[in-house]
Amino acid sequence: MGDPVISARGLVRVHGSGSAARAIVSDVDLDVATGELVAIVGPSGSGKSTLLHLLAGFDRPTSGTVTVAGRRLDSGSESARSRFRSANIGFVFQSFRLVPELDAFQNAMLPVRLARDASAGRSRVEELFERLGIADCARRLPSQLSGGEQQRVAIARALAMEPQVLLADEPTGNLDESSGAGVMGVLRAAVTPDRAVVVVTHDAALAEGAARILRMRDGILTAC
Amino acid sequence: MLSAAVVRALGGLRSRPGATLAAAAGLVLAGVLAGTATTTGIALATGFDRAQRAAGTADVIARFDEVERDAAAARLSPLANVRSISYRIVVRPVDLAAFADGEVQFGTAEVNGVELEHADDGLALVAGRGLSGAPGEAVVERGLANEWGLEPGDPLRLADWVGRVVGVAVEPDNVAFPLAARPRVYLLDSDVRGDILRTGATAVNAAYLHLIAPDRLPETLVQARAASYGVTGLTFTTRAGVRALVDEAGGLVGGLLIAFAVVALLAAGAMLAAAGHARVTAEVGTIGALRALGFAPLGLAASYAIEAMLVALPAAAIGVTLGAFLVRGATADLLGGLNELAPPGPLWPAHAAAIAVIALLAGLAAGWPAFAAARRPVVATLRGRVVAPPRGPAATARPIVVGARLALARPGRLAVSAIAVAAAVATILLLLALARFLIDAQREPSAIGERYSLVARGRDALELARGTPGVAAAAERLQVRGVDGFDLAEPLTLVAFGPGGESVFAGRPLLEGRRARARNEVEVGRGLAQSLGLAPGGRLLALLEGGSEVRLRVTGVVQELGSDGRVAYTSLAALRAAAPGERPEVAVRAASGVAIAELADRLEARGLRVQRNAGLAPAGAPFVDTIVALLRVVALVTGLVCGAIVLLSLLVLARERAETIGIMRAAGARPAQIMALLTGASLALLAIALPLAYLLERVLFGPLVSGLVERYGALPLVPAPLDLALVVAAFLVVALLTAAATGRRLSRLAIVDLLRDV
Repeated sequence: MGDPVISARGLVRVHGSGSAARAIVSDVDLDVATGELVAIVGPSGSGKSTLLHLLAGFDRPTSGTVTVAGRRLDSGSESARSRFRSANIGFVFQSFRLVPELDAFQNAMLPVRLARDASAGRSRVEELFERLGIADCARRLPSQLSGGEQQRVAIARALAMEPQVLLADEPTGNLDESSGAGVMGVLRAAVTPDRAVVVVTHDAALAEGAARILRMRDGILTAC
Repeated sequence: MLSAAVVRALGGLRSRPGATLAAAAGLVLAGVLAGTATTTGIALATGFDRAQRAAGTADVIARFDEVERDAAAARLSPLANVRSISYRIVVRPVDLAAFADGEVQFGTAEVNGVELEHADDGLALVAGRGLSGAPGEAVVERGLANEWGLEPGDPLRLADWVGRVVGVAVEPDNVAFPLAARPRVYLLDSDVRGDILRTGATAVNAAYLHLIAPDRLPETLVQARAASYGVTGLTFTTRAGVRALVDEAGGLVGGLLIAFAVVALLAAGAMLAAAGHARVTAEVGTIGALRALGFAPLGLAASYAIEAMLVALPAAAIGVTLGAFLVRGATADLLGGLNELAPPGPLWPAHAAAIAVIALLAGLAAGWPAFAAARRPVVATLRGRVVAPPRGPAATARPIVVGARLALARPGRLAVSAIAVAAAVATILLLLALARFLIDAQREPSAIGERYSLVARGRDALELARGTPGVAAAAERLQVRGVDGFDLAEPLTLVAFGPGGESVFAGRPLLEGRRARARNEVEVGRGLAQSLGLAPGGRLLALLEGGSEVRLRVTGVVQELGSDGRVAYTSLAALRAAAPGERPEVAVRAASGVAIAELADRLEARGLRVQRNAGLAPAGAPFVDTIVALLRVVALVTGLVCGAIVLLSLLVLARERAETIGIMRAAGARPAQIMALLTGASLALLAIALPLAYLLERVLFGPLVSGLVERYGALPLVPAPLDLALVVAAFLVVALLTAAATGRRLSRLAIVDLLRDV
């Protein structure tokens, strides 16, 4: 196990205000080290996805701090946070979230393009497509791919910049059993000595493969 | 169902205050355009008739050499169709001095001596009162009052007559001072004879005839001419003739502005349609949900129409009022120059109609697509907004390319937005072309075929001018006014150049037939050809001032921008023979590199009286400046409307493609890259709209406006390369600014909110 690459302290996210205020994430402390696969499980509405969004910098906490690879994500300009996210965090959505106008390869190349790293990134993406078994799908549009293929493209996109952190939100939630198993394997393989993977899941099999399983209930994170 | 529709409409307004405000801003701009167009168009279209009604202008104005009043009455009073006649003694030039605004001003005036019992005949008083018969009273024309700052009570001196201004009036039988060479001042005829002419005789030289049956005017004119023995120098001016006279100064630009009003309203309509359509198509999912809840398609359409109209009514009211306010001053100046009256108050009925039309258009633009969406199967609509499938994979994921593809993925909407932008840009190009043409025609006589810069008068003017250093060419130019020999109500001007004329006058552009070559041949302006039904091969019979007549064979029809197109070009020999008393002037062309002012000084040093050839608007620089200012204000307003359309289309795109933008931000796109994406979308819009605008201007708007003022011939309303470059540059800036504003807003939203919805 390496150094902590994700560190959250006293993390709180409240939705609404006044009497309608509701804490979705309550006082979460979390450390994840490189080389570690962490699974977060819990019922729907428990705050798992919100926690993952906070760790990715998609949303700002109401209070508390998030540090990824030594950089605070709860503060700073949007431009700087975007640049950092592009280089250091990969994110896999439950519903794939591919850009329908771009083919599979261009979707995976998106972070590379945004980081203006096209020449080096291109070979990485090609290699990822080979490794993930979707090289034949490269020039197809998302609408022409199966769910499993779309999720592999989404994983390729998340790994295109070789991030230190890979976050996956219910990555098998929209897939059949066989496709889900394939995606699980890919995520496990994504864990390297330089990278941490955090997966939010309902999938017991996927959770069982994790080095650490955490449970979320009513916004509170506990170890299993 | 209606109450449910209203409740949903109100809810729609409350739930999206930002979108409501953006839509309202677009509608305010459409209102500004409509307010500008209606105010200008209606004021100009009705100004002449309003002034004529207010003044009670005579049906016929007869002007003749001085004759005893009783002798004139003996000829005119027996005419069968005459209801009443007033006589005037008109004297010009008369030295004028006035004290106003703390200073004494000097000039020359045309003094009209009027009969006490007809003192207000033909005058519309706009300040003070008319002549009462008391000594020392004068009424001055509004043009003079405005130029010199005169008000009732100010002292005035005319030759030996001394008195005070008691009233300010408009007499709409000619253009106003300073467009007219001299201002008019009205005194009692007894004052004119006693203090200015110093004569006891009761001579008159003008008669104002009011007819019993104005539609029998031609017969009355023939009778009057037949009965005019003993009266010399007789000319008639009719209402139609007065309109033509006024049109000589302002008809072309007035016609163009009215044409613009039509085009501007079309552009506003296209913009409203685009905005409303975009707004509803972004809400297909909501429409599906409402259908599932039991809303009928018609009820939904009504609900969206009501929501749009609730925004449109107040926004259009603000815009129309603002537009009317913006151009009110310039329009009043324009009307003032033409001796016409501005509408007595705001044009409430027209403005209310414009507001109602905008609200209805907005309602239709929102209601119709809502109806079309609601008629689809509920299941299909429930899938939400229709994110159009891409047409083939993208070659690159560069944000600017992705943005362009997002815009191109909705070709229908892009086309509607592009047409609206193109209509507005084409209007701007047309206005700029018009403004440039007017400036050129005023300052560069060569723009309308005239190669001479100066006109000289005086003894031996031709020889003196030709012998002056710096003169490249000089030729005699003779201009004589007259009327059509068959219809005495149709005024015309005959112009001829002497030997060497081709070196100072290139000839107006030939529209039909051929150039006049022989002595008795003539080229006629399009306006004259239309009025008199002339064509090559026809005959022009003209009665000239002084009573002589000339018969000429028409060989060609030419483009004539001045004098309402009622000009004919013939040979100097023919015109001289017909009007031997008229003395030609000399048209002078300056040598290359010689300053016009310097050449004018040289000619004046040789004892010649010199005037600058002012092209289309002789002595009318302030007038043309007013029109150009008006055109530019309208162009600016149209530009703002364009900006609003681009912004609106980007906001709709952002709403529809929130997920894509969210994904890009999740993948690390910085605010600048989101702006690049939106720039790509607006560039896609402009890449279609700008060439379309150029085509629209050349193929539709330009010919449409030219067609509406066809009597002048084909106008060269082609956008200048500089104007084109400026417009393209301005819209690139608009694209960048709107993309920056929208991108900034999207970058401030949390990514999770974008991924959820906007």
